[in-house]
Amino acid sequence: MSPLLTGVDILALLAGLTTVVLLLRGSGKHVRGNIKLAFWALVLVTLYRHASNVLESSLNVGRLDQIEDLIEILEPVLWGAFFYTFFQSLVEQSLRDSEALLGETQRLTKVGGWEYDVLTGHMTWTDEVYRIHEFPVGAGIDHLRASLACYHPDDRPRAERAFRAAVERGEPYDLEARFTTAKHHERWIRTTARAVREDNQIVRVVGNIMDVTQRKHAEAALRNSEERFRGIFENAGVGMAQVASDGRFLMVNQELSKMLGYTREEFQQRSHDELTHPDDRARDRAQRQAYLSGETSEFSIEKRMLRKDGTALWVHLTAVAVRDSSGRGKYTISVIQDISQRKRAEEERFKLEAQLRQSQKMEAVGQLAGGVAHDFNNILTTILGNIELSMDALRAMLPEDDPVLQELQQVGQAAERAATLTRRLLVFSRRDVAHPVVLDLNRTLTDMEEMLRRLISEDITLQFVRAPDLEHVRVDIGQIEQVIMNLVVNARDAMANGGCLMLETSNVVLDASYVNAHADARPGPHVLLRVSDTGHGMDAETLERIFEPFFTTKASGTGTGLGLATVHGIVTQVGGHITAYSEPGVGSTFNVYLPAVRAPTEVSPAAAHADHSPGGSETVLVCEDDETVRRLATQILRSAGYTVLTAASGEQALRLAADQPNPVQLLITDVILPGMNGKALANTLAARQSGLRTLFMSGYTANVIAHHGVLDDGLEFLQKPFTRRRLLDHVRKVLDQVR
Amino acid sequence: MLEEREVVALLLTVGVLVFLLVNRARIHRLPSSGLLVASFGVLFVGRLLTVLEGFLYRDLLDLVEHVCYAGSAVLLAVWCRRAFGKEAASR
Repeated sequence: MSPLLTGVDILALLAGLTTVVLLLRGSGKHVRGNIKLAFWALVLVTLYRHASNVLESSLNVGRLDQIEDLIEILEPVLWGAFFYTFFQSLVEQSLRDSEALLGETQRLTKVGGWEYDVLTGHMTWTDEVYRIHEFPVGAGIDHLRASLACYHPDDRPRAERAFRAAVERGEPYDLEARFTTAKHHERWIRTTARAVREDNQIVRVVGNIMDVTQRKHAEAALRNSEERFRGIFENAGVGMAQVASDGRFLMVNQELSKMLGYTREEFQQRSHDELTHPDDRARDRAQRQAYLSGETSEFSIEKRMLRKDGTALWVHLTAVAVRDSSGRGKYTISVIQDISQRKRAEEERFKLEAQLRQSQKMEAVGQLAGGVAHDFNNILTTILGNIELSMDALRAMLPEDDPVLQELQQVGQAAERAATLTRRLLVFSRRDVAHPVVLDLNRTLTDMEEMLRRLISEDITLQFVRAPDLEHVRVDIGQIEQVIMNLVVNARDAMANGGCLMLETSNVVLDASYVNAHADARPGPHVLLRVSDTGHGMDAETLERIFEPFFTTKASGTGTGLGLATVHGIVTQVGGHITAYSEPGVGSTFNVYLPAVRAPTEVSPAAAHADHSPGGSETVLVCEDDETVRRLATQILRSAGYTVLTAASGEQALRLAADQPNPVQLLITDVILPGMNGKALANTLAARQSGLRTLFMSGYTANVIAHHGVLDDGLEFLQKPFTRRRLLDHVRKVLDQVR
Repeated sequence: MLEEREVVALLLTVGVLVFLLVNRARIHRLPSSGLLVASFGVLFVGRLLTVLEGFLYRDLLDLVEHVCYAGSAVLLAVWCRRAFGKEAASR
């Protein structure tokens, strides 16, 4: 035999022995059962063959034919057996893995499987079915009866019918039912089943049962949540809408539908943009996009929305976005509140505040004017009176055309203009003393018509529209004439190239809503005097300031800026109200509302006494703190024949009157005096001496004898500055009054 | 010279080979399947040579046949160590 062959056989034998040693030392301990047995058999058979080969080749031992033949046949068989057992174990392992996976899946999904053998009536459950029923796994129970017993009494008949139909007729079923477990826990289960047929015979029913309690609770919670949301959505007192990210309305509530007048279907055919006022659209779009893209954290806007009838409605809109996983807004829930009333109230408030500011400004200027007028009128009284006295004296010595007389006359005219200016200041600041009488405004217009026609140029058409049954008004004639004059002059100046000037009168009633919108208006019947022109008009800025004192649009030197301020002052003083409307290039309209009175017209007291002659011999007590005025009045009165007593204060006047043996017929007193005022002095003296008459004089009364500019009843008043003639006229008039 | 037992053994080995081919999809799931299949393959070659040596190159093919058996035994030992050893247990 070849030693090479022997070596190879020995190598094979050693390899076989090594394998045996490996197995004996523990390799394959984790391998159990048939695989290990098959492998041991294979290894021992090959070991035997290798050993016999070694013996054959080295020791030249003959063949053990019968055993070797068997080994030779057995070896491939063992290989086959080994492979077979290996593959078999793989299949079994796979099956075990599948079962474990199925069991775990059932546990996780809470789905159990069952099978009912129709022929034997035996039912099999998976572990999860036991767990769903809360029976111990593998418990020896009558499965069918135990399961049916767990169903809620109301659901059990339905479950039984379905099961019977599956067993008897092979009808599949899928039902949900209330369920009480063996441990008395309330659950919801879903069970499905189908029949399995063999040879057209129903042999089994297989099905599953799953615990759907959580899903049912979630569904109930979702349903409740939806009902709550819908309840809030539909019954909210504000408009609500679900709006897609592209602005389309998805859902709106009843309130919004009512607010804007569209039906729900009409809303769904429109976008948010379409229902937003064009002026607010860009702002709304920009804010909405910024919010939806996450640039801003909130979306809240006040804007106008368009109603179905085309009118605009102010709303306050707040939106909350529902976003996707990337943070982009999918849709928004918008809350829309009607704020039109608030907006209107705000506008009214702004308007009233502006009017209040204007009134306060006028009040401040008025106080200033009143303060100045008091002292200024005393000065003017002295200037005018002394000029008059000087001129009277000089006329006796100088010819009428003497320059000195003319110069004095010019000084007098300048002082008169200063007096007029002071009077205007008092009028617009409502501190002028008025003598209101009941009159017919139509009659006043008629009396003034000729003068007004002379006032305007020929290229201006003057028209009068008089209400036939016009109510009477109680105003100072001079003041109302001044109102008409000022308005007409302004209209004339606005129509440099001609035009139409119209004066209308009518009866109107101012209601509460009008009064609420106009701070200085009062409710009730009024006489309206409307002065309209077709002049150049005014812009809004000018219109806002026209009643301010010293505000003028006329060239420097041509207007004082007191014309309309005076008009405003006079109208307000009699409890009236004035408004102005104007459009540049179209014209202006002034509406003067004067309170209507139901009384017959009166004749002006001033007119009744116009022809009284000055002069007399009565005793007159003059009380005036300004020495120059006091001296002037004394001089004028004495020159007219009166006996004059003078006092610088009320207290001094009382002493003087008490010491006087002859009674004083007339007290002429300044209204504002240091210490006791003129009214108190007059009252005190009148109490001591019956029949005493009083003439008050003042540059500014400060409400002592006049309230809201209207002189108290029964009082006589002389406005400073006065001329010699006016003083004597007033004195005579008062003395001649019949008691 | 053709011996009956050798032919039967070869046919049985071919049968196992066919069985492996049929289950070839499962083979890779066996641990260190390459070594095991190689061991069986080399054994199959040895069986084939056993039959062939009766017709030609008797001595040479006999030697190669024994080399195949030795190779198969070595491969099986290695497979046993790999598949059933401690590493396999830990895997």
